[in-house]
Amino acid sequence: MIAAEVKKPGMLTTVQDMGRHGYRHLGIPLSGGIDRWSLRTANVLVGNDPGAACLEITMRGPEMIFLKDCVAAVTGAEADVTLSGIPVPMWEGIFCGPGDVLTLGSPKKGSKSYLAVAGGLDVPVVLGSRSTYLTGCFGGIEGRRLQKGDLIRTLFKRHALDCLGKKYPKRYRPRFEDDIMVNVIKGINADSFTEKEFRRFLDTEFVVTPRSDRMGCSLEGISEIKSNIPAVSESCPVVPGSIQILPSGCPVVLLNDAQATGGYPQIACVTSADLWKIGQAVPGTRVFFRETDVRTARSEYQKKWVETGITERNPEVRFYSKTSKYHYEITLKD
Amino acid sequence: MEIKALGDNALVIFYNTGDYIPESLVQKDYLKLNRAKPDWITDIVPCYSNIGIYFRHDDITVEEVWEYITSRLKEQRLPEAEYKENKVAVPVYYGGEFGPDLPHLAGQLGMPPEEIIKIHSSALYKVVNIGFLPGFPYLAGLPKKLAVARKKTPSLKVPAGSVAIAGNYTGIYPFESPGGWHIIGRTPLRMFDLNRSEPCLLKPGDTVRFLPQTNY
Repeated sequence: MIAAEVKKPGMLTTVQDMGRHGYRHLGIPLSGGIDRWSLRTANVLVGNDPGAACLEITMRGPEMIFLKDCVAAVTGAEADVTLSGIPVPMWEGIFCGPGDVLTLGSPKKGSKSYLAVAGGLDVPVVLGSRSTYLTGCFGGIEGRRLQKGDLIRTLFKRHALDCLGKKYPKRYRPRFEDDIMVNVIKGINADSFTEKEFRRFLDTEFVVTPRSDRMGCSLEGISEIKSNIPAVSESCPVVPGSIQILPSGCPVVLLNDAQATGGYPQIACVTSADLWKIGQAVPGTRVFFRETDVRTARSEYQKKWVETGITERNPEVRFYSKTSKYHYEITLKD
Repeated sequence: MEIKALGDNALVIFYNTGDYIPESLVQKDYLKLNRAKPDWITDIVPCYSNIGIYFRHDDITVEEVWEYITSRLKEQRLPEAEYKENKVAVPVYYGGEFGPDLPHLAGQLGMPPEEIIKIHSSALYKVVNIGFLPGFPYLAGLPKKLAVARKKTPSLKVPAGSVAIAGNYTGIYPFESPGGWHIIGRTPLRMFDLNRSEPCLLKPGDTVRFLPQTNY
């Protein structure tokens, strides 16, 4: 069904789910929501599968007018969200009726917000995923970012209104700090660096530069990191989170749209539990890396997976919709 | 051989180190691992001297994957039939507007453009891996005489289908994109097309020969 129409697309808004698995050997990257935790929680709040397709909203948000009764939720970067001019909270299910205009402002903290609509966004599945891959011009809405006039379609969801009244507990919500500590696992090319140089990498304060996109987050440090080998080695597989050291001595953290293999030496790799911190970091954020091991990384991931699925009952469900011609009486079920 | 963790949900098998690696070894192990792969393995990505194995760590620990890989690699050889490679002939219009870097390259390599075309089109190539862009093949087997460093300044717009060389590889650009390889020709074949049941024309392990076209 057609849920809404885009009035303003925002700076960079794309459809993303949990990504495209199984095609990396053909050079097709994972794609998918860069802050997978906020994407998951947004879906849980509206009763979707954790990997349903959402809008990933980078920096300035979109404006859209709803055409049907919908339950939506906004998570991720802290932005002002209004429904027909009335401020509505993030991290809880909100009711949007026909004629309601949902607007997301620029984030005050963080860089990416996620908008889930009950049922999940309905765009064609391309190679097993609904995620937009901008470089390849496929997935999402015609392989591109949102534009004015796009219709937001959702899959049908029975009893969508029953999802209202869920809220993500404050204590679990992400905090977007100016200084972030990010856990890393030693990289597959760590032997291209001396032990001293690896230590220097862990001791250096890096800063996020503006040259960052869905492919990678580029960092700059006070001291350069030097590898023992020439700039380009034999190609190796990469993952979102791989930290490559460029010939300039600066690191770049690969993100979800990065290609499947890369030739720059990988000194370390951000854990999948912590990658959202890099994805949400705005230029100027200071980054420190801390070494961890694979086992700890996995248990952190599992902890986070459970945590981001926990919701609590909203003591009071308010209707923000101004224009809906219907009046709902909703019985909240436990 | 050495196995290393790539983050917390992938492993890389390295065929070390520095010595010559028979590409058929990587290729055979790739096929072996790919055959009847369990569903917790999401992706297997071969490169020239290593193979990446991506798994869902919701379902399995890294130690279990490690064990699985080592036991699979110890298995007997596959029947010869499994190694049957896909042979692909790629028509190329060399030089002129389709190969803008050919004259400069001729100067750099110290041989006439015709010689470059002849050498490039007489070799047999092997798809080592697909990377950089969906469907971009890294083709090994470039004769040493044509080995050349990338361009100092990458071109901002390389047209789709451009056949190019850099380092020890030749490759084909699937889309228009920026690129630092020397463009010597162009193929009308679509390297990547989502309307096909197999979107990529080439896959790792395929053999490629270039057929020079003259009638344009």
